[in-house]
Amino acid sequence: MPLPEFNSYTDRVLTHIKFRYDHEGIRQELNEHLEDMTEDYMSEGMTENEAVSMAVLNMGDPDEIGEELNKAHSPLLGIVWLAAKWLAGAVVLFSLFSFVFYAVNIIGNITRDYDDRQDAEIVYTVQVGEKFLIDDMNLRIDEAVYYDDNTLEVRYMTWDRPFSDSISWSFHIGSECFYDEKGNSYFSGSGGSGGGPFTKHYTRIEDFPADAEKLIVDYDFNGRKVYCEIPLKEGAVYEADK
Amino acid sequence: MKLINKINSMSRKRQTVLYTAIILLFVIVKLFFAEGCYTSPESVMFACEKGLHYGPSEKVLHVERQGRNALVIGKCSDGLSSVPAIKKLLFWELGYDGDGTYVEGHIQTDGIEAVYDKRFHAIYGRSMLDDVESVRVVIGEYENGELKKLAEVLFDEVDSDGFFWDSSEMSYIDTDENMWPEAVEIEGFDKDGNSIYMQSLEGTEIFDSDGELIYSDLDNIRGAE
Repeated sequence: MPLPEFNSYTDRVLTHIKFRYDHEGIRQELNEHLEDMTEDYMSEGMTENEAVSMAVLNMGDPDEIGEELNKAHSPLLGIVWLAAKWLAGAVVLFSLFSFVFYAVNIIGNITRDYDDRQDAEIVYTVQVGEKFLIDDMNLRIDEAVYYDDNTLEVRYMTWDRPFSDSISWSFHIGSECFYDEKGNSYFSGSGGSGGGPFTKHYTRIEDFPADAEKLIVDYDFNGRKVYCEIPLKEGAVYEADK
Repeated sequence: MKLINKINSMSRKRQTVLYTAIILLFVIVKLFFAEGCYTSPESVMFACEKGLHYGPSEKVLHVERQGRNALVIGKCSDGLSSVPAIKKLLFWELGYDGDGTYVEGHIQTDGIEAVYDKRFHAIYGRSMLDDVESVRVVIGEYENGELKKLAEVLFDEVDSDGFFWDSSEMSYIDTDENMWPEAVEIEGFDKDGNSIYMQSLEGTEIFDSDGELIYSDLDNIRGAE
């Protein structure tokens, strides 16, 4: 507990300091300094009252010190500093929260399996893993799944390159992109996409022959090309064998 | 903790600079990478082309600014690129004030193509035919099964890229949200004023300078009738 003499001294100093946010810090620092000086004088043989008076006297003119401290603790810089500090703190917290949310979202998106159809049984699955770059968008063809109703489902994931400045639109490997090894063309009957920065898509090709050896994906859109041959017989993992 | 202590030991000026840098970095990352903000309508167009997987435009042919809105037209090797942008504070985003993000995007052009943009009340297009010097465009709309002509503009000359643009009173059509006027007739003329290209809803005919028919897809349509 500071002595009343110290308090009246520091109060006098603080009347000159306009940036009130710093008052507590300055008060504490001045009091500590006065206490140290008092202890020094007492160790030299002075009584407490004498030491206190001497400490206050040797600290200097409170008005002069107040003026000097007011210059050092400029209210304009102080307000800018305080506002920047709080705003930067809020920004860092918000960014951390967003980053965690984004990371959880991405991990969930990547690790989540593609949804199997409920209205048909899987006959075989072929793992593909072929990767392409279309402008700023990565495309990875993950797998081809053949169902017992003669539907071949092509599953693929898209995501933008980090710090890409492109405006994202929905993407779909559409019709007239699918062939078998004999050159027969197939139309995709349906398709769909999930959400998030790593988007999982599927395209279903109906009436695809069960004995086809290969699926050829030949996408050519405005000069953007994706070509991939998927060996259906060689790479197939049959459900019955699992 | 060490980092916080280090920052606290800095002078107040240095701390202010550091905090301001953090805030600026956040604003830049947030605006440009998360919110889709760009520094100009042209950069909106180039970003949109990347996302829609066409282009990129070889050059910007026209930027129409109307209030907060801008329509950027780019020259693609096979036609035009048309993307609207809207100003938000200091930056530009994809879209049009009060009309979402409808984008004409890639306008593939074989002969002559023309588009009516009802938001900007503008007719524009491009001729890919070297001999075409001027173009006539009729804008119309189907109403109860009947074609209604709404505007007709003669572009006296197309520029060296074959591009033409008009947003004068001649192209002004009073539309509502249910109206989608389109180019229903496009005619191209050579330097002597001979009609060498005619495109209507029935099909397309291309003539040489002597008036000889070079190409027509009308026969199939007429033959079927």
